[in-house]
Amino acid sequence: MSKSADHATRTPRLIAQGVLWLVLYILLIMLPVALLLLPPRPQGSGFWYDFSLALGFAATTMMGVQFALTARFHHATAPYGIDIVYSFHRHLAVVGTILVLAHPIILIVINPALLHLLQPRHVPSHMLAGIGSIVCLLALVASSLWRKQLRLHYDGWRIAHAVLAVAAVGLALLHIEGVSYYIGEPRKHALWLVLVGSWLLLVLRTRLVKPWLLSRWPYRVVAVERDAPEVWTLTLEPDGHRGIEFEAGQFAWLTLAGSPFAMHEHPFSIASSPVAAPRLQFTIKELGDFTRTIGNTPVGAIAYVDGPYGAFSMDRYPEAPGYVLIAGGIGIVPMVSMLRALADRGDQRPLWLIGANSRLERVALRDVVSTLALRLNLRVIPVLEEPPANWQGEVGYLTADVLNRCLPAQRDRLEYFVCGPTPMIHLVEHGLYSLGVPMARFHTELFDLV
Amino acid sequence: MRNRLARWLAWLTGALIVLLAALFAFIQNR
Repeated sequence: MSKSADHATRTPRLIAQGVLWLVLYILLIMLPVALLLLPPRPQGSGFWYDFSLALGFAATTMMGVQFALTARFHHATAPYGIDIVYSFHRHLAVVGTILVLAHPIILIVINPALLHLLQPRHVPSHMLAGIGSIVCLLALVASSLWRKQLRLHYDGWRIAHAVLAVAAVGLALLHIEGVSYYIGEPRKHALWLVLVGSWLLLVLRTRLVKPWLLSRWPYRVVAVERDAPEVWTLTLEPDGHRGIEFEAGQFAWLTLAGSPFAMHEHPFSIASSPVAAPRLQFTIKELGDFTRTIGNTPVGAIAYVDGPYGAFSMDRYPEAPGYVLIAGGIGIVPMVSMLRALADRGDQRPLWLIGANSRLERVALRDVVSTLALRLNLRVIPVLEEPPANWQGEVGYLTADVLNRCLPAQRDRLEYFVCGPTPMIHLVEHGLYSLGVPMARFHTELFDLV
Repeated sequence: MRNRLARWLAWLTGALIVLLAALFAFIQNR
């Protein structure tokens, strides 16, 4: 198949795959309630009682299937981009928690005498498991939604997240086993155990099999260079294997100075060109506890790369007449990967790079972009919040007015890639919308989800 | 936009589950 024919069939194929995975997900979620409906069924216990019970089953399943959403399956996440799968995981956790809470609340409303079961002397062990599951779930959701406000260290939060998730689902399963009313029948019980077993396999895959596979494909740090204040570029080469192939703009989880089993990995956009693979470059800004140590990484250190992931790539829109790359701060990194790839291919389509930063001296990869501009049909437009005294360029935030001045008149067929802090993405989205850019041409990469 | 879609899809999934649970309770008690 020729390259253009391949591209022509790729988008519909990705959409079809996306729909297929979504349908599969919804079927998986519905499976346990369908299981309850299978004959023979025990006698009904009243509409609200059974409604509450089915909610409990379905919400537990939602939580169990969450393990699939974070298992980083390449085929299942490729159509959407894994950032959005994680975002879906986060929203589902909120919805699932409401459904989980609805289960005991409905039961207590229809039968307030059940509150007596909550007194320590009377609590049967399976009820205790149910209460424990809810406590773990609430801790899980609160620590994820408000990690920064609670000042939880990212690495510690990740370990707590994994433990609490398994505890919340495990205790919910013990609760269901203890009640054992609707899955008491042996065949139903067996089917339920198969379903639960699949979640256990997912946990084992994520926590044991995947790290073991990663440990067999180590990388070596071959260079550590300072790019701008608090910005470092790491260059990695595969150690004894062929490395990964990626699309420009994608990202990977990077583990430095530690075992892949230790869960000390962090997601970073790849800065290098796919043409330069298997050599990989990551340009990283000091933003947190881990990234503040990046500059101290010794040359020769072992690293592990889990990737590539993400749908943020111009290669997904190969027919575009041109690309507009809008970056805030370190959001420049995936843009540079795309520019490098286009330069390596000799692509001369018109490109616009709008880079928003606080100050000129803090602009990351400035020299790299200047060099790339010589090889590309690229217009670079820096926008500064605090410009130097003799600054002639754009000033302030990426408002519709600024974008209007930067973009060409024929702007509705270009593809727009936006990466940066969430408020900037929202501002640009509103700006482009007001300028008549079709939202289907607006592509973002979500990071900083927790 | 994708994030909004993910949020709507999550709430839609929740609504679907509520409907399914109600259907189960209805069948069980008719």
